[in-house]
Formats: sequence, C-alpha cells, structure tokens
Amino acid sequence: MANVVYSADGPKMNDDVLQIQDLQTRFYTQDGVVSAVDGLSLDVAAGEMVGLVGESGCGKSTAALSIMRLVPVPGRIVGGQILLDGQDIVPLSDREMRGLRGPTVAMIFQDALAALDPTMKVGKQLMEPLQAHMGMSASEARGRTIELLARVGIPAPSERLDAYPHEFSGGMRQRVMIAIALSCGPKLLLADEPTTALDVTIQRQILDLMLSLRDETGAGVILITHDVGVVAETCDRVVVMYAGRRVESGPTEEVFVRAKHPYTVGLLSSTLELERDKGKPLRAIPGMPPDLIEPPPGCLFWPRCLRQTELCREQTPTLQSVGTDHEAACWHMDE
Amino acid sequence: MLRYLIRRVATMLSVLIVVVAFVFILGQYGAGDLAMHLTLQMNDNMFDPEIYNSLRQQLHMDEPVLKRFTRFLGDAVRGDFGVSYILPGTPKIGRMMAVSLPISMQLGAAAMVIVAAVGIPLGVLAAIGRNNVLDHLIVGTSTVLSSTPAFVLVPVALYLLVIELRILPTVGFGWHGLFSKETLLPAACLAAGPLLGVVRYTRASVVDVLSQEYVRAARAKGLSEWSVIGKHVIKNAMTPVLTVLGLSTARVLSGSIFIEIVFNLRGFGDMAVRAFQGGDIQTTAATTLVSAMIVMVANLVVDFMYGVLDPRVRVGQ
Amino acid sequence: MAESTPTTLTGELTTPWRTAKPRSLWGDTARTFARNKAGMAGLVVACLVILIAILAPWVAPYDHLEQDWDHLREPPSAAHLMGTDAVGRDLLSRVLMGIRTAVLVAVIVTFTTAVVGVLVGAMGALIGRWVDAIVVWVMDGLLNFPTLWLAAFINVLTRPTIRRVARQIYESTHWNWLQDPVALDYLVMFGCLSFVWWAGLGRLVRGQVLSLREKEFIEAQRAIGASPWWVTTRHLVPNVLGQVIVQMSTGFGRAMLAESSLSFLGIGIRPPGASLGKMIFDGTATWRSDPHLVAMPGLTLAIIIMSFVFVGDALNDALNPRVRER
Repeated sequence: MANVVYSADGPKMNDDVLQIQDLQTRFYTQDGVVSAVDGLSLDVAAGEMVGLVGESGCGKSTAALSIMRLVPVPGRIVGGQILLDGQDIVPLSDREMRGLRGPTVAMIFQDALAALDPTMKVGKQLMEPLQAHMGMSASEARGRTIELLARVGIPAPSERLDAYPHEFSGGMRQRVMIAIALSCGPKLLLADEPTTALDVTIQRQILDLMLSLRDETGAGVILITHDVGVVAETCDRVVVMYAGRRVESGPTEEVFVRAKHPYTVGLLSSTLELERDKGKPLRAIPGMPPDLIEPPPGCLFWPRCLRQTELCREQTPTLQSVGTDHEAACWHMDE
Repeated sequence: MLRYLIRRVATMLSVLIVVVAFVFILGQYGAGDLAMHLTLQMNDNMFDPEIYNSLRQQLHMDEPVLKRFTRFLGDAVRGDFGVSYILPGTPKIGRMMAVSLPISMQLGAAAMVIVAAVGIPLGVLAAIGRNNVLDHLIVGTSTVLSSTPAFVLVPVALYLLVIELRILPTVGFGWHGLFSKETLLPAACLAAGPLLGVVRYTRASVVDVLSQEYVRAARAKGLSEWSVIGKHVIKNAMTPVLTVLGLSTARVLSGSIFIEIVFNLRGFGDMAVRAFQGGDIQTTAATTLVSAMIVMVANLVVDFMYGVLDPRVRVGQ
Repeated sequence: MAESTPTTLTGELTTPWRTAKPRSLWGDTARTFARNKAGMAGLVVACLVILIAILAPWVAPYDHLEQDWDHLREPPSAAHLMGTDAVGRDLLSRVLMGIRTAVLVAVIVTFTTAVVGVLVGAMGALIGRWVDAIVVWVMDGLLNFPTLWLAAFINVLTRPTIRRVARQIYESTHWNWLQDPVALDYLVMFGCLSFVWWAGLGRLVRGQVLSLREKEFIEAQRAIGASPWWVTTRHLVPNVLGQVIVQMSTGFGRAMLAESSLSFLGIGIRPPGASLGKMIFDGTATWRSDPHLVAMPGLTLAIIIMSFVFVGDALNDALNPRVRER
C-alpha cells in the first residue's frame, strides 16, 4: 500500500483513485428535503479496500450511487467534489459519465437476482459493457466473457453463458455480478453489501474472491456493509457513517481497538465475538436513526448518545485527528 | 415450451366446458319452457300444439339433460348452432356466422393493430416522461377518447372530420374490404375504446421496470439510456401489456357491435344486435358462445406470447 | 453507567428532535386523493351527478315528456339550453332525467355486484376445497364472456320471464308498479348487469383474501391467540375494502355506460323511460343536420364517465400507493 497522508484538508497523494470532498446529496421529496449525504469526505487509494459502515439509511448506498452519478430522482448531488482518478465527475455531462461507468468505476449490487435482467441470458449481459466500452466484436466479447466467468469461479463457463439468472444459485449469481463489474478493468469498485443476502459459507468465498481480484487488478474497493465482522476481516481502512456524515475513520484495527466516536463504540459492542465476549450482555444502541429532513445544527447522534451535553446539541463536531490516520468527530472523545 | 403450451390449452378446454355449460343452461332453460316460449313468439302469442310439439322434437327436449348437453357441445364444435326461429326462413345460425364473422374479425384485427401500434409507444413515452407535460397530455387524451362511448365517438368524430374540418370527403358506409380507406375510420373508432387501457398499462409497466434494480445496474455498466430502454426495459415491460391487449379483445368485441351498426357493416356484432332486438334466443346464445370462444382464443395467444417473452414462465412459477 | 438501561450523563434518555408523524390509513388516503387534481374535479362532477339524479324532476326547466311542436329540432338557445328534439321536447330536461336513470341503474348494480362479489369471493377463499373449486370454475367461466354480449344475452332471456312473473305477482298483490313496462325494464337491467360483473370483483376479493390468509402477520396474530373474527375485521377487511372501493368507483361509471349502451341498442330502458343511450340513438339518424341531438347527451355521458374514471384512478393511487420516492 502506498503512503497516503490522510488529512482533512490539503493535497492528497496522487495514488488515490477516489477523493470525495464535502459531498452533499439531497432528495427533494413531497415530505421535505432529505439530506441523505451531508458533507461527506473520504479517499480511497489504489489497491486499498475501504469498509463503509453504518446502519440502514445512513447514506452509504446514496454515497455510492453519487459516485456513480446514478442517484435516482428526486435526488441530486448539490455540492462537493468527487475526484475519480483525479477528475471531478460532478459537473460531467451524462454522456461523459457513461464513458466512465465500467472502465473507470463499477458497482457490485446487493441483490444479484434483482440486478440481473431476468429475461436476458447471462452471457449477453456480460458482453454488453465489453462491446460498448472496449469495442469488442461479438465473438471477442464472448471469448472474454468465458474467461471472466472462469476467473470468478463459475464452472463450465461456456455452457453457463446461455443460462438465465434464475438458473443460478445465489453465490454463483453474485460471482456473475462481480465479473460484470470487473469486465472493463475499473480502477474503483463499489461493492454495495455484496454478501448480505448470502449464506455465511458463501459469504466467505465471495469475500476471498474479491480480495484476490483486488490483489490482481490493483483496484480500489469500497465495501459497503453494516456487518462490522466483514469489515474486520477484509478491509484495510474503515469509514463509519452516521446520518449522512463521516463520524470516524482510520485503519481497521486502529479504529476497532481504539474506537473514539460513541456511535462506533456502540456499533462494535452490539456485535459479539464468541471468544472475547462470552458472558457479556448484547448492547443495542437505544433510539432510532434520525429523520434526515432538514437536519438541525449540532451532532446528529446526540439523542442516542450516552455522552450528550448541551454543546453537542448546538455545535456540529468536526473531524479531529485522534491517532495515525485516525479521525473522529465528537466533542467528548476522551470519556 | 411445448409442455407449457399443452398445459395452457388443457386449461382452456376445461374452461370451455364451463362456458358452453353456461350458455347451454341459460339458453335452454333461461326462458322457462323453451319450446313454449318459442311457440308463443312465432305464433303471435297464441299456443299452437303442432308448432309446440315439432319444436320439442327439434330441440330434443325430451332427452335427458346430459345427453342434450353433449349434443349441444358436439354441434357447437362442428359449427352447428341450430337455426333461428325468429328470422324468416329459419336460417342456419352457423351459416349466418360464417358470413358475418370474417368482416368483424378483419375489423377487429385492424383495430387491435392500431391499438398496439399507437398505444404502446405512447405508453412508453409517457413513462419516460413521468409526470412531465407530454405524459399528462398522452394520458389525458387517451382518457377522453376511451371514456367516450363508441356510439358517441363515431358521430362526433364524423361531424368533426367531415363537416367542420373537412378532412374526409365523405363517409363510406358498408364494408369494402380490410385495406380500403373506408375501413380506417371504423377501425380507429373501435381502437379508441381499449386505447387508454393499453397506454396506462404500458406506462405503469415501464415505470415499474424503470425502477427495477437491473435497470440501474444496466446504467451502471455505462450503457446509453436508449440502449437500456431498448434492450432491457421493453422486453420486461411487455408482459403486462400483453395481458391488457388480450383483455382488450373483449372490449373490441363489444365495441364492434356499435361500430358495425353506425357504419352499416354487416358483421358479427350487427347480426347479434338484430337477434337481441328480436328476442331471438337461439341466435343470441350462439353469438354469445362464439364471442366467448374468441376471447378465450385471444387469451391463449397471449399466454403463448408470455412464454416467448419471459423464460421464467416456461418453467412454471 | 447502569448495565441494564443506559442513561445519559444528565440522567435521562432523550428522543430525536423529530419522529415520523403517525398516520391513519384513511387520513393518508384522503390527503393523497386531495392532491390529485383530476380526481378532485371528477369528484365534484360525480357529486353533481348524484345531486341531479335525486333532484332531476324539480331542477329540470321543462317536463321531459312535454312536446312543443312549435320548436322542433332547435339548436341550443336561451330558452332551451340544449335545444329540442324531433318532437319538441326540451333536451336539457331529458338529459337530466336520463342522468337519473343511469345513476339509478348504476347504484343498484354497483351495490349488488359488490355484495355478491365480496361474499362469493371471500366464501371461496375462506372455506376452501371443493367450494372454492366451484367458485373459481364459475368465475373463470363468466369472465371469458365479453360483458356486453353476456348482458344482452341475459337481457333477452329474462325479459319474457320477468314479464310473466310480474304478471303473476300482480295478480295476487295488485301492486301497480308491476304493470309499468319501464319498471320491468329496470328490473331486467339490474339483473343482467349484476350477473355479468360480480365475477370480476369476486376474483379480486378471493385473491386478496387468499394472499392475506397466508401472510405471516395473520399467523402471528393467531399465534398470540387472537380470535379469527378479530383477525378478519381488523386486518382482512381494511385491506380488501380498499380494492372493493376502487372497483365500485370505476364500476359505477361502467354501469352507467352499460345502461346507455343497452338502451342505445333498444334493449335497455325504453320509452317512456328516459335514457341517454336512447336519446343518442335517436339523434344518430340526423347527425349531419342536428349534431346537438347526439352531442348533448353524448358529451354529457362522456364527461360523467370520465369523471368516474378520474375518481377511480385517484382512489387507486391513494389506496394502493406505488413505491414512494425516498
């Protein structure tokens, strides 16, 4: 891994495939304006696997969609920069962005059954980006597809080409999704809960596959998940999100052992590890995630926080350095 | 695929029995003693034992019910629907239908083509627009056209086109063949009825498909929007549209009654109306039965198309 | 910090500054409906129509049967807002009475259809086995008939029977209305239209009840010991009711159309009964010279039907929301 000097402002190393600065994505709904992503900044270097964790609704999927510029109506990116391989993609036209999807950045979706066209043969779906972006002919694309399927571990790939998505098992389908994502050799991979819908044993296989592909291609990977166990096993760094903001980040082991933000602490203590936590009660974080319509000032976690004070309600905590590469945003971190 | 088709045909046949049974029971017993009823109809409301007995014989009324039913079924399958006792000369209903059906079939087919060719693209456009001006315009116009009953639409359309706007020189009444210019207006008026349904179903289906994850995944591959729509959306959106096209058959059948009357086309619907007005039970029963059979065949065709479009269906959900 | 219930430094747990507003199903429905402009417009017209139906004889400027031979086939004017027909009757008055006819038929038919459809559909779904099999068989069979055709068939069949039965009842009861041919026309209409449409609703209801029966929350309710009656009224009914209401709303317009259609063909409500369909039929002969004879009743009918379509649509949107955009 290259030296990445990580700071809240100032120039970054050019090894970063992704630099998000102060991203704001909002949804203009009938019930009000939802700030799904509210000032998010994060970086991903080449070959690095970054875990993006948080509860449902914290904005991690929206952040990923923002990177792809696929935020659904009525959502829009309203501020910030997203530097993909050095280029800010926020002002790009749709046509320009299309050229980047596949060759530069690709996404692995959570539910492979839903993300594959049920009426189109799997091979054809794999060939589409190859023909669109790499200019391959049908036979070239077919050959490459067979290679890709073999690489992700699908047996008898030349026969499976002509199968339909519903004829695959869950794990196989996820492998197909990974193959599609990798087909044009992207520099950044966004994996949105790629193992959540799978059995535990299959999860293991898929994660191993992703790690080996990462090693092979040198792509940067953002692994979005709410499962901290997965992050602990596979990610180099972790970014913790809450209510559309980054509340803590740093190298995985550092953050997990020396968690500073109360939300991270809560998240970690609500999972169990068999050996370590025998006899300990399972702690849930009390309360509910906030409604993100026009959020008030102050820390968004304060209603559920055991360290809350008046200060928390009035002033939004900023990210401060609490260790090597380790940042967190809380007014009461040393308690 | 073949197995799927066979299953569908078998289902249809079992429903056919029910349908025939309905018509049989209603037709033979709905008016009380059928022979009596017909006798009174034919003879100025006066009972005549000769006519009565001869009718009883012709209608096999002394046979047990089941035997009558199987006879009825067998005859119907062979195209023998009995005779009309009301029309002069007691003509064979089957023969009358053989003459009038082709006209209606052609008219109906032309109308269906217009419905599909106009309705589906409009529905797709409306869905892509989703609440923009074009969308509202399309849905609004379709609603107006479809809510106007056929027998209102035709005179109004005629008046506008012939008198006010002078687009058409005059109106040709009577049937001049499927591809003659006189067929366009009746077919178009007939198409107006089902139009809204097709536009709406297409729109809803496309909107639904557009919100599916695989459409987003296709965009994530960097495909152009038109490519996404053409390759992924249309195929997946078509299944509900087929349903509504199949359902439209019934609507077209019903609408053709009015279109045929107003445009003076001696088709199936026209024949049926004369039977309705004359209280001709035999003919009415026969036409009702045949109309139901047409609907069933249309549904079978729709089922077949399902199998072609959606591979999941072939396996059996 | 306590082990059991975590508390804050200040000693109590606070809640987020905003929680979602609790919403009742009906309140939500009404609000969504109100936002639909076409639906509201349709509702206004529908209410107007119902009002006219009730008040027609008093609101109509002229007696709808009165013939004024000095004013034959006049186009709309100040004296006759919709003009006059071939025998000098005021068209507006006739149209108003025609609306009354159509509404009367629609009310009875919609109600009957709903009752029969819901009962049969629910019965099939809840009782199951061979009862359900028969119900499905019957409904599927019925649904294969084009509705107008079947309605006309029943019409032709039942007319003589009803006449005969009416005469027999009259002989024993001497109720005068049984001698009124228009009343008999109505009876025939009610019968044939209700017969034709209950199956559609029945199938819907059956489907809903079946799927709801399987749904996990019903199991869960039973698991905690809720009685089947409670389960039915609190859970099944609201869900099914929504669909039924939508169907009834569109069915109302459809029934009015069917009445007009059958009357147009001459087998519906016949003179001296007033029917929009019959008026349109009479006017069709002179569409070139006196377009108002077709246009006035025709457009009135079209507007009314359209309104019910809009209302039905808006209700459908309100009761069965599509995926709400986040």
